[in-house]
Amino acid sequence: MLDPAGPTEPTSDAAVIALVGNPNTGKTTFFNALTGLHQRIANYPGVTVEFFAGEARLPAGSSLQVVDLPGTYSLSAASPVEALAVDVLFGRQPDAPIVDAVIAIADASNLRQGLYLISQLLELNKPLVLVLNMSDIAAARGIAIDVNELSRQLGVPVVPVVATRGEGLDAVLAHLQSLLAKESTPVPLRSPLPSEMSVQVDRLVTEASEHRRALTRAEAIRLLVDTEDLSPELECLQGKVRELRANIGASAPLSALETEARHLWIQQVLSGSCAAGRASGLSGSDRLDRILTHRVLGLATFLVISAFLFQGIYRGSAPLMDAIEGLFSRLGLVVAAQVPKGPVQSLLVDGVIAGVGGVLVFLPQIAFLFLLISILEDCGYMARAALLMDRLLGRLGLSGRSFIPMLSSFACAVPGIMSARTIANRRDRYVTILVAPLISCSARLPVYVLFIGAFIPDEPIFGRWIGLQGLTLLGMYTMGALVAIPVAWLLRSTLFRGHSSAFLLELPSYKWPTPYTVGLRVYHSACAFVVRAGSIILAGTIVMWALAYFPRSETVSRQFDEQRAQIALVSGAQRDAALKRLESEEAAAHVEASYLGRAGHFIEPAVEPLGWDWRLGMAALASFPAREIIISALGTIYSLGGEGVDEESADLRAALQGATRADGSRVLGVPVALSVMVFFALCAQCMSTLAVIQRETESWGWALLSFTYMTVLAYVGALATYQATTWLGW
Amino acid sequence: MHRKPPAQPNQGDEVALSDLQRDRDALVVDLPWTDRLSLRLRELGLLPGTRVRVLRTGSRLVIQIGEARLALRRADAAAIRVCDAT
Repeated sequence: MLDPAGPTEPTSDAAVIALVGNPNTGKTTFFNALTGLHQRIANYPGVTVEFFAGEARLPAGSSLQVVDLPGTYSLSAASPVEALAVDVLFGRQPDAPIVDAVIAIADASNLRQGLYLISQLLELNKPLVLVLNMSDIAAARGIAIDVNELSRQLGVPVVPVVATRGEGLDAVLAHLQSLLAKESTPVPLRSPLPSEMSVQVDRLVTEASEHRRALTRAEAIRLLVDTEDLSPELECLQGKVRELRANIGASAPLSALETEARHLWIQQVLSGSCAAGRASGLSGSDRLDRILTHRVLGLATFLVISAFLFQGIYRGSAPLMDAIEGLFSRLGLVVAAQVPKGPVQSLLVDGVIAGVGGVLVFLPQIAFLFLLISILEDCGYMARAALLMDRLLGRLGLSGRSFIPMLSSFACAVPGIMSARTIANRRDRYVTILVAPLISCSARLPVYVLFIGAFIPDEPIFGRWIGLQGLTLLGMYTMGALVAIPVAWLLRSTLFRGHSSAFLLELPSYKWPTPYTVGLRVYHSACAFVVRAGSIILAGTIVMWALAYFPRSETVSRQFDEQRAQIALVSGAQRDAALKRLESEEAAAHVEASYLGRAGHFIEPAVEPLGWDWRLGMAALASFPAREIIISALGTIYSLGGEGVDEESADLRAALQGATRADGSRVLGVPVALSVMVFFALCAQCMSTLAVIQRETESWGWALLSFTYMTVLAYVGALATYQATTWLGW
Repeated sequence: MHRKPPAQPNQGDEVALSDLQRDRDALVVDLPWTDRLSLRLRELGLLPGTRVRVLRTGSRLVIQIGEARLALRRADAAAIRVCDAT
């Protein structure tokens, strides 16, 4: 989700720096501070996890390519996302550049945990700078780190940094420069591993070089300790690995030996260089968690936060939305006045401006949604919500880990599905991927806002703050999640049967969100939305316009010309009104006679039980590539049909309210609006999502399955909604 | 739902981590080493001899190791043996 107009690939001679560290160490904040806006998505084949590469400059002026690898606790990967970080570091990721140096980042106040990964990275034999981030927070907690002593013990430069304020960045770059200038590798290191293990690691490195495979010690350790199958190119070492494992003759699993040896080493390093903070009672974060992770209060807070989130989206962005709406209707009038009447004017005014403009109106709301979700993520609340939800998700056979991809699917299912790579268990990951598109994404927001604004009365319910409109919006958002529950359960107990997965999650300390990190994320998603509106939605709109405009029926035009000639005989104001009415009748007759109109009447019997007329049916059908198309499609159909083109009712909302059937009755009311919204809430109308499901599961079968089950659910849901609400007499 | 009454261990008694009361310090005595979860816990510093504290009890536990807070399930915590060290 980044603007394609970002910086181009840095020149190939730029040194490649990998940024590695545990999750929650402020790695991305540091990366943003280092590279500013000079970043782009690092897209390697077979890899869809979103991570960024950016450009930075050394003091001497040469440029660096910095890769922000996904966070990991260890080089022994436990999930696909961790495996990616490890593969890039080991040079095993196809098409990823070979890493020249490493910036290892650790949380200064939780150095013990960070040093585990560092101890593994030191055996990579690559130049390394250790960055101690959030050193201000550590100092405030009374944790005193002797940076020089730590640097001496580790044999690498150590730089305390406050990434949120950009402090210490220059020192990091200066150290990198001098490390890269030297030809020699860093000081050979005394491995933390017990000597009987370390010897066998060296023998494996030697053995590999005899097979013409350069292996670092870090990689050799993984081959010996981790029991996963060897990759095809390393299969020649299979026998040797087995032999060396036996040589060690350990009584415990090698992984247990490794962790114990490394933590012993960490203990030694810290005892000489780090004075622990004040006797740790309950921190402020812990006290906040007493409420926010409380069985009852925590859930209640979660619901209140969600309610205000959606009400905030609705209210907060209204003024901006009105401004953009006004801008586009004025633009339409200007273009209509400048361009002569005919197909070109119609394409610009009815197609591009009424269509794409109608979608762009929702930019403020989408930016607002991303803003609120980024804030929740950045301040550390997400992990708490995952903890609370683990109980519910555990009953479905999933874990709280699935909650984070699902929650980010409220913004967009594409990054949501991609972030499912943080889930270690394969079955959990697949189920999460298959239900994520049910969660109401920001692309559904325009549909809800349009129909709620047009048909749901603006009545206050709980005082001034929560109104009927906000509540309907919340209801629409909740519905996707509620439907996802039985679907996930069904999938987990049929196609994905198996042991329920484990759950382990770090709860980072609460912190104030970093405006820059949040702002950058909002900026990236706003760009992605504009690009989407300018590409897939624009294309869909033009197709819709063409279908609704052509063929220009001669008989219809002639028929109306005759009527016009008759009216011309009448005089005065009456004549003007009659002419105007005639003009919109002619426009409507043209749309009815168009290809779209004919196709619409053909499908009408299928959508009639949902309460829709042919126009809604065609707009919904056109929205299968991208659901926002319904807005532009309706805008185009109504605009071409002569409704809502005059100044007083320039917006689509008014056109929808006024739309009539051939017999003069109103098309839309509360039941139809609800049925449309339910359909859009449940339907898989997004090509990008289906494509990303295919990429992540490496099979079109799963993409097809989610498309089918969602479309069936959507139709049944919309049918039930319309029939029930009509029966209730709404 | 049936829940065991909380154990009241004396100092030095070995109990499951899941039975430890809130805000009490304990030392890890033993944890399994075969499954993926235990390996990750070891990597994060939960080893025999480590000091832990339970910050949240119930079906999902929050434990503190050093400066880190980790959430895990009661059933998984039941496999970890600790002794009270308050």
